[in-house]
Amino acid sequence: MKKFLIIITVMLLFLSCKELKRNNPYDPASENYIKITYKGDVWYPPNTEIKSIIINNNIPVIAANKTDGPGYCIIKLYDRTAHIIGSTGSVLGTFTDITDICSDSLDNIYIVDSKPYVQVMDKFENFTWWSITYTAGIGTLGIECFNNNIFITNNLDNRILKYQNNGVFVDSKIITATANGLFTPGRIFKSSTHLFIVNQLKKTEIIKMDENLNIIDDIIFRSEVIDGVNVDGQLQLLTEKAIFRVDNNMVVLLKWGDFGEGPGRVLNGKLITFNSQNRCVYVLDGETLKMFGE
Amino acid sequence: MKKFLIILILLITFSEILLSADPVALKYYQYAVMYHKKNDFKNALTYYNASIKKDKKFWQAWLGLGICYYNMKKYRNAQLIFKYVLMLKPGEQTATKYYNMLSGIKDSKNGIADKKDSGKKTKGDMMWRSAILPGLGQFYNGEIVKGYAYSIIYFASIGGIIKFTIDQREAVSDYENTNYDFENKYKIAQEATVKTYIPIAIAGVVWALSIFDAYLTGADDVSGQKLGEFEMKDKNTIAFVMKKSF
Repeated sequence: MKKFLIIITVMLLFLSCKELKRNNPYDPASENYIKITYKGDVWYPPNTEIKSIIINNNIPVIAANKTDGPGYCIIKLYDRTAHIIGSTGSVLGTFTDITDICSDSLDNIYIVDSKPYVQVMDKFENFTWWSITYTAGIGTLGIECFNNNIFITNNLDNRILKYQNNGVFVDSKIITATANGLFTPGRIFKSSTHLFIVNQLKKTEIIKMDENLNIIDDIIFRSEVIDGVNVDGQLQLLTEKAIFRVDNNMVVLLKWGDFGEGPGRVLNGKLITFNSQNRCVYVLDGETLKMFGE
Repeated sequence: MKKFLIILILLITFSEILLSADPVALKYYQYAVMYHKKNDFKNALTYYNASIKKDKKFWQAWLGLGICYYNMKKYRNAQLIFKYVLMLKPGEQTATKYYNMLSGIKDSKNGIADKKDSGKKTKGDMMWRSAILPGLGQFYNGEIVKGYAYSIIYFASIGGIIKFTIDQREAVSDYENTNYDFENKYKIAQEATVKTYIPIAIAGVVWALSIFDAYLTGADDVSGQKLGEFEMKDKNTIAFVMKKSF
């Protein structure tokens, strides 16, 4: 009996070992793999406050405030090197408090700051500009290129503006309230078929529009949305502590970026973009630019 | 085979009896032999005793009784009875053979008493102690160094099992909860799992070795029962034998 007890005790000790299974959902070799995993950090120069990020000509491009040098500028990020364009200033090719950037299919970069015009930098880094219509003033501007039209949100005007990519004004829409209360246009992003504008006053509310500025839907999402990006027809919505892959109606297909311990977790999401060349989603988490992909 | 030999012995002795024994004692003896053949030791024992009561010098009945006890694995009683048979009929072959077998020392006159005095513990006693805790059997047998060696290695192995199990659990949790560096963490978890086998194997080997060592070094367990412990079920017989013997 005593011998039996000893054997049982030893067996229990042994059985108390955890079974090792390859079941980590972020592990590409796991059978439970969710098909997205942390791929590493993207280097960018020190003393850089990133304001916006896009992928242009397959290269990450950030609009930033470089505090130890030129101030507000556009930075193209190569492997461990950065190409800095522009500086703080009020003339063409200089910037004051950049709020957002976007690019079109011709690799032109559109930059909005606190000035009432859009600066356009072509792929040869030549600048042109065109002015923005406003009434109350220039607040925090958001910009997005959709079907080669440029859409700009101005929170002071509660207005969404539509321009052709050469700066010809097309249309504008003022939205001050929805069925869910007051609305101030904030962050703007697109899917393959629609535009989405986040309510700056209540970031769980998102308006879905077509390219003619018609409101298609007013959606209340489960978390506060900070940014979004189109990945193969599905949206990746960035919230502070997770990323949601959603369909065009904001139905959640997958939640990720909130799992486990290590740099693969998003704790302070700020910006998101997608590089179709390396199939990676770039997430600015606090001050770290992280890459996620399959 | 063994059973056949016993029956043969009983039949040979039975033939010697016919001429000399008390008729009633002989009758009881016949019954006893009959039951003994059927392996009904309890009844055989009763009739052997009855036969002895009628004729106390009836050494064949004593011999049968001794064999009966032997078959019942009451070796201590059997040994005393065989000794008494040898007193009644010195040099009696069967009794001598059994007596020597039981005492474990041929031609020994002291038998079990010698063993007890030698201080060497029996295999059984040592083995079950070693099974409870490796080294305990050796301590019991006075093998202090061996006892310490087995018990220290065993406790060290148990400590290793606990430590490596905790490490393994942490490593597996680490892998399960990580969101980067999967390959490395999975490899670490795998290694930690393999590590747990090492102290388990050592503990198992030490445990088995301690028992095996107890088996090798322990004194022969004549009966598998405790020496010096008398079977007192048939008090009359034992009392009688003891009175006659000592």
